[in-house]
Amino acid sequence: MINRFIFKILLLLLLNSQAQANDVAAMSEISDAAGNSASAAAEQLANDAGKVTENLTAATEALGAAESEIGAALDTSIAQAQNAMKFAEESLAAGDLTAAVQAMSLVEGVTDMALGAIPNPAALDMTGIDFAEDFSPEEMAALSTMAGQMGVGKVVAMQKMAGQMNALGQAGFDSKGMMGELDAKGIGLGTAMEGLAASGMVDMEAVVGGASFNMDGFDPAGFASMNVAEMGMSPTMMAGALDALPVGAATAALETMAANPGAMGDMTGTMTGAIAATMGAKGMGAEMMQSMEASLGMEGMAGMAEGMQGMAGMAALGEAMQGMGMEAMSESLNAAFAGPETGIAGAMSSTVGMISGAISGKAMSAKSAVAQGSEMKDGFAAKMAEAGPEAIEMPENIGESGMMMGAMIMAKPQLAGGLPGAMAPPKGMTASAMGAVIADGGPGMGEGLGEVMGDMPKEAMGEHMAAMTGMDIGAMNKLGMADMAAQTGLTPGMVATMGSAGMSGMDVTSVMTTQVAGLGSETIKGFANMAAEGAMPTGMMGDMMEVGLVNQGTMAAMGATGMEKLGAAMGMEGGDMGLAAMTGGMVGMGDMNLDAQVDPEMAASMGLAGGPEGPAKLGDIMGPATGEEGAMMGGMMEGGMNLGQVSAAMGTGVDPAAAMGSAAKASMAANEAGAGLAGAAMGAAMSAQGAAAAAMGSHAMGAAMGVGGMGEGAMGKAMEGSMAEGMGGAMGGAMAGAMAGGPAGPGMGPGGAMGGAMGSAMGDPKGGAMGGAMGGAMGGMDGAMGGAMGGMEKAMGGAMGGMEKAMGEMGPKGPGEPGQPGEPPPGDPPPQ
Amino acid sequence: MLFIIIFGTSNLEAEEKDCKYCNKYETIKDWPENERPEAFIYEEVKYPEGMFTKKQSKNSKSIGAAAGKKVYLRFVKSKGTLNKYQHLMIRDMAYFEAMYNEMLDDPKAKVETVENLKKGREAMRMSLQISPKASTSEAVLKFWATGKMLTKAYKLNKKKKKKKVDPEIAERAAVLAAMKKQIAVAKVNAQRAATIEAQKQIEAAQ
Repeated sequence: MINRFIFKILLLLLLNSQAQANDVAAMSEISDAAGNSASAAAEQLANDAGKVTENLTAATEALGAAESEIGAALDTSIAQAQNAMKFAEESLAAGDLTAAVQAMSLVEGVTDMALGAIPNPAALDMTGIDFAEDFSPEEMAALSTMAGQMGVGKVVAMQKMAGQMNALGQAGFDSKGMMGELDAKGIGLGTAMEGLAASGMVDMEAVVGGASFNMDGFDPAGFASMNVAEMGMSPTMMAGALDALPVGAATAALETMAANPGAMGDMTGTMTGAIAATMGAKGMGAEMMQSMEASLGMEGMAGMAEGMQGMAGMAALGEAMQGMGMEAMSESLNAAFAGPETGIAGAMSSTVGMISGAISGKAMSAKSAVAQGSEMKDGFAAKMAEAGPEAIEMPENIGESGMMMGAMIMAKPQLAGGLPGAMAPPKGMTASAMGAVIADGGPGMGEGLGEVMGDMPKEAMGEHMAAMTGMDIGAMNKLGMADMAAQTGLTPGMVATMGSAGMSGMDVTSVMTTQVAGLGSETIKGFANMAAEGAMPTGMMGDMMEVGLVNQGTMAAMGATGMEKLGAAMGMEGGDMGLAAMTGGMVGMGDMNLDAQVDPEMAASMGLAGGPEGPAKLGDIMGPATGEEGAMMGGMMEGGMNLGQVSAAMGTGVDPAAAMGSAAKASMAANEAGAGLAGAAMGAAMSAQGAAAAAMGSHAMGAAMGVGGMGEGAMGKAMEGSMAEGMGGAMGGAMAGAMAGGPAGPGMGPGGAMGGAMGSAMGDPKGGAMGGAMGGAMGGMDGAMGGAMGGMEKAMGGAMGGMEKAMGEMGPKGPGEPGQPGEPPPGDPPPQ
Repeated sequence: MLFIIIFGTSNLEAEEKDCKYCNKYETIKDWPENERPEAFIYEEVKYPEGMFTKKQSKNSKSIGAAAGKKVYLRFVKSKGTLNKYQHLMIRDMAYFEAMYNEMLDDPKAKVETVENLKKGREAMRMSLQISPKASTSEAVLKFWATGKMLTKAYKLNKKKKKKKVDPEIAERAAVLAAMKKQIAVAKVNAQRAATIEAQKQIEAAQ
């Protein structure tokens, strides 16, 4: 208490003497409650930041100066981290939570880059290949699209970092100077950008207006806000990248190309077709493509995708690439697969290793540098944990309104770097817009969702929050919660999602980006407006679901009318659809009649298989377990299910029935546990995390995910339960794969929140690593992760069991029978 | 009576299958194509050159048998070596795709088996981030091309002695990773502290 008093006095003194943004003072202007909450956050962060800085100082002393080149580069990284942490502490002393959080986030990003520069003994070595000599154009096209798919996560990570640089620059930190120091050692953003440019992931001319990277000419906010076409991604890489990114990223790229028809030269036609094909592959139907034509000014969209899908598409891309010169393509592939800057080799090594480990039941013997360093006897890293910050245990009395208010305090600090432009977020939430907001100061976050929320008075925000939390509206107004919500420019559902994501250690930027992805595209906004006017045909609604376009942003834009039509087509009855739109489907959805059929048109466009009597009943679609449970509830599922969660899973390619079953199970579990809003918010955050993992890989995962300590109260249990459902659900595999990736795997190092368990556990699904290390390191999350990995193991086990049966079905001469030709004698090397 | 209940229950459990469509259809022949999800519909694939011999490519059954043989050798008989020969594992995932696809053209194929194989197919696709929705032809080409690339790289680089990580680098890497985790925990704590204080304020206001 005395400490807090001294802290406040210091803040007030500084308030009068500095021009730096002061989030604590700005919140105090809204209400004392808001100010006190912001002050508590600043105090806690100052305390923890101090511990990290002390640790770094001690580490620097203990380690001394490195002799090797890479060691010296890592020393520079540690020194720059110290510098940024010092700035964070100074900012906190001035009440500037935003600058502090952004500085700390930048250090996290920079650390990933530094770790990525260390040769990984477990990584696949792909150097020395002559692609032009050994591979056909189709094979090169396939490799190129895969490189685009796996490399785009690094591009998004660069955009996040550039956004943080911009925010910090506005707050007075020399972030360009910091990057310059790191680049001098070959581990800065400029070095990474050169690698990305060599592989065709970005075009240096588009990024800095020159042939090579130069920090002076680099506009961090501009780069952070670009879509993939604006950053000049090469056509073949773009085709792969758009496979991974949300569909709004593709429409945004098409809009840019339509505005600059000559930008891709001879490749324009092929590229447009390839982009249309990625949208078709995600499930976009002809009707939706036709409706895009007007907004894009492109005729015959549906036809463009013809002949561009699957193998034919690869052949067409390969043919077009030949026009660009195979030597150039070969160089670009070499840079993509062999260069550490793109992170592709690392990502591929992790996922390939994860699967080989899962099938063989054996762990990889090679250990990463992080793992080796953590296991060193008397190493300094092991000592760091003793003096580092520990996760605060949440008290039992925490409620949902507290969660939302805490989220509103931290909204600007967390999102000030803006959302990466490659994911096509609303313009008002990109780094360009956020930079201006920081420069203006004050508690507001600027335009936010833009016109989606523009007309909503703060009173309505208050009413929605009251409906969500059950809190008295008078008390809410007294605390200034409606004002705070209005300042964020977000929906109440997004605020709740941010709360659960932030408290559980997810990467808030990635989660929020997924929840609003696409709203930066005029085409997608046009779709949402069409739904809001009630003019969207049911088939297109189904497409929206299938391609992953039903997220919290589009639900808000669709409004009550759009949500009502969507809910009805899915077989839901009743509910408050205005509330459902503003809460991203967490609250207000109607009840679901499990004996009802999905609208036939909706079912067809979602890819749901039907029977002779038409589409199956909802209970049957969602699987026997859900159906039986539903039957026990009298055939009605109260509160329905979150359609955003279903759509997020479907957008990553998950089977519609599995996506619905997974969301329904989560909803039923939440209802049973009485989880309410907190469980629903966690479910929404987890589904967004899964979609982000599918798009960005390891770069989407927060290093503290699974930190535990959510509390023994009802809310903590509900949130942990919901997290476990998410990890074991339809997108658990995507998250497990992402967590295995990265230089050390964010949070995967032995000092990481995942306790180093994941790295080895992935390769040892049956071993003790999962049970032992998980339990200790992940607190209550071991069950959740076990669910994800258990699911994978089960799938692989099922496949292997099924395969043995399948062998039997292949007739008497099938392989696997004793003595059949081709079976190697025991002890022989494996067949080549 | 108790015996009957226990016996009946255990019988039911034994019969419970871990698949969805297999409860309704026994073989592919029984399952009308227009009632199947896309992933269960056979696709005519032009397999990459060199994947199958001319003899093997004679018809769907011979392609399936050849693919099955490869799959069995790699993923069943030699599964203990997969970590070492990852390049071959990836290449042979193309055969897994082929085996699964050709099985869809076999009227006698059991739906339960096909459903099990589909789960494995999705897990394998995860290794290269290939969408579960991608066509067989696309997946085959991606596995084949990547397997070929990894095999070339393996042959080129297998004689290279893998450098051990210098302890000074390993220690610094571990320090950086630990620092990153601590920063992440600090950010979580800030949000939790704000939430705890907000809750106090809310309770006071109410």
